[in-house]
Amino acid sequence: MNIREKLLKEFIIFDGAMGTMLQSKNLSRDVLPETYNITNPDVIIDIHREYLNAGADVVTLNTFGANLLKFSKEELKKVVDAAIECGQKAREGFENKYLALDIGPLGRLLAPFGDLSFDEAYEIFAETIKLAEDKTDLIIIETMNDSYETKAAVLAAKENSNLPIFVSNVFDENKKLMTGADALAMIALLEGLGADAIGMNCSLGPDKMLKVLEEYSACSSTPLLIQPNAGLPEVKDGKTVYNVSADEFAGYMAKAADMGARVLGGCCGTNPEYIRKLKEALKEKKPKVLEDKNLTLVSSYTHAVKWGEEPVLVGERINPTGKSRVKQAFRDNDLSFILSEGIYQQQAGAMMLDVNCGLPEIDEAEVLLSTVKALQGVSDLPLQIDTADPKALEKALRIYNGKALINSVNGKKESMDAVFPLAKKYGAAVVALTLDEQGIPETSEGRVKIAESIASEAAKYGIAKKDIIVDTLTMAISADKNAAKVTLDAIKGVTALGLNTVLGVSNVSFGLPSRDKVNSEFFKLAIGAGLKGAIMNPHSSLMMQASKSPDYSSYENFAENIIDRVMSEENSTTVQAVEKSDNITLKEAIENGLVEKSAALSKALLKDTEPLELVKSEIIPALDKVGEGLKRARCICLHCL
Amino acid sequence: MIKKIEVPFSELEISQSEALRYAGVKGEAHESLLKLYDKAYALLGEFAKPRAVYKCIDVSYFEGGVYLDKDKIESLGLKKFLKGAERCALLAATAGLEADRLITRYSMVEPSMALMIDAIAGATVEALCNKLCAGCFATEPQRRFSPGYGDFPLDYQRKIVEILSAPLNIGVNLTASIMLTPSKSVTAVVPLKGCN
Repeated sequence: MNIREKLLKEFIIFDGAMGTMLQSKNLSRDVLPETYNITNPDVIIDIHREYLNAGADVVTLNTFGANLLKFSKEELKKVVDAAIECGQKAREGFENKYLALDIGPLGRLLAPFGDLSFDEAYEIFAETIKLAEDKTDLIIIETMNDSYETKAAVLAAKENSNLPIFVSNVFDENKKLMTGADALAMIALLEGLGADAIGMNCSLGPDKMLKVLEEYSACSSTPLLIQPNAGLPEVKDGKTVYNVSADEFAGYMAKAADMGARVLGGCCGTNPEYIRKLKEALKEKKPKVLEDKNLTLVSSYTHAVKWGEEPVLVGERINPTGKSRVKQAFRDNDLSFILSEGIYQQQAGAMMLDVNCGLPEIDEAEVLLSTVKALQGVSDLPLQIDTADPKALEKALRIYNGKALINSVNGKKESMDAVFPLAKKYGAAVVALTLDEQGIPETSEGRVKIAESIASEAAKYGIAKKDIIVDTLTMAISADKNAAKVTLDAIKGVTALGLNTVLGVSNVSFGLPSRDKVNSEFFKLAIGAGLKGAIMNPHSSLMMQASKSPDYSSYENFAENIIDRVMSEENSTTVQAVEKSDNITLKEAIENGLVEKSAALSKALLKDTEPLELVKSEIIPALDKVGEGLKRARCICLHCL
Repeated sequence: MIKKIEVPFSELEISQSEALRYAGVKGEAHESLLKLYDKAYALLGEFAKPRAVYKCIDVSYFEGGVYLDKDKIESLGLKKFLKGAERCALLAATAGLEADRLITRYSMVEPSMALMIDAIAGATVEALCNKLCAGCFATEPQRRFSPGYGDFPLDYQRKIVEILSAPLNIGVNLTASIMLTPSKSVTAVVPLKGCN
């Protein structure tokens, strides 16, 4: 039975402390403990055997600090090879015992607040992991107190081996990692990355650790791991001892098993006696049945945002489309403007931030990368990576410190082929637009169907429904009052499929004055229809209020009233027909919406003008002007739309 | 034995005058600066997590310096500072990573606030060390000596961080050039009369 199979069926007992055991062996303290694999293999083998005899299923190899920051490349290979050999020798004569390559933290803080880049950390972990090849049964990444470093290690493990990955973080008494992540943030990140077991070790005794486990067991769908210290150290008769006895420890661990822990072992202060008692305590128990909690989570380095409850507000302002100041900032590489946009949106109440750097004249991949890096240095909001360029998407997802939301995939094969492998690899959730090769369906059934087919294609990549958030596409109502009804009906249909929904709400008011008013009224209606999140402007107080005020009335009511209302309330400039005049140019005719006149003038001009020339000189400039007017809500032009 | 301590920000006696001095304020602070100070103080209070870790060890002496436990340190400055004490504490303390994050965040939108937070965070570590010196080590405030002072090699900072498992215990790490992260962190040697 390999360890993945065992994990689904039985408890897995890990060993206890290595350091505590080594201290009792009177070895030289002037060398790194991993060196003992070479200099004192018998001692290491004995320790492993003591734990195996006590009932441990897994030997944690003595490679906790085996990395390129502490050893040269040649030394590293020797140390890891020797560790594996010690493990192999130790398990001779036993059956069904597993060797775990142990990966500990690097002792350096990652950028931007430390001096180790994410890529450097990844390379250092990868170097050790490559040495395990197929000679160990799993990798345990443990005692990690930073989410970013944890991610670097997990990625290195995923990309350089096929071994099962167990991940264990260190929480403090506030139930947070040293760099800020809470339990839910780690669950989101690690389940996204596809860790086989997740949990916690070190720093806390079992009593306090159970409180962290409680949070894991409420929200995690992955097998849970727990390896507490033997309580807290205290000095007795001049010796450092831990204050939780083996019996007490076992009692707590029995509780942990009841709460859902499947992988259990000990950390500092534990010894084979603790593991023996632990094993005994689990004798009559069966692992708690694993259940899928079906949570849609997106996370940052501090916390996760849960989709499906109150509407998630995604700040839309970091996007150059239609925002000349943002465009300018991206062109000038003025990151501080972009970052302050992020901070202001957070202060205004945004719960996530959309990041879009799509401008034809810049290197989107590089700019998106540096923007995401910088943004996660100043804001702890989870990010929505908004790009149509798969290269840019991958770079940003890779260095993102959390579980990102991708904006977006759609029903086109090309889009799904590009986005889903990345979503799976980096453990992101995706916004799915209900359009495909045939365009945007005009019926809600059509959009729901696309949502369904996107979800079923995602499933082929192992992406669960919970990680797909469907955008049923808001249509502008200026051309057709009922255009957005389909959007709302599709929300209901998609919700019935068990999928979460999101909308870029402001499209609804495209071409209308008082856009804020229209947007917020529509937003209320959409929440009433079941909408779970919106990509919106958090600086709009109307929108912020609307997010808390679902409206359950009919769409017709909204559509009938809204256009007339905003038109009468706002002193907007509408397109005025100029007086019929023989002197009018084609350009002016188009700008003024004179359909018949435009046609007549075109025909006349075509007699001695090339068609393309006419398009270039008259029609395009006219459409540009109309477009600009629409954008600034200076004109409304129903027929053009 | 290694001891970890987390002191609530509100329990620290942070010197306003010291913080203002760090911020570059000379003479009497203008009312607007004091308002800024109050805001920055409140922000830091909300997010900062002052933590420290220490361990008491034996000290012995030789002509050119001291032995801290078994580590030979060639430093006449440290020898003079320790004044023949037989025990000392190795200490690492920090205002926490959130202080750095706040400084970076505000430097984007309100640089004067960032400057003030930076100054108060610096004073926070000082206050934390003073509290430990007065409370845990029963010595007068300000009596501590850090790697890099005078002829005390900066390299010993690496040793202190390692001995105290500072990355694990309080989130203090070294950079490649032996500086500390988060930025508002210190390591020090504090002489003791009696200590467990």
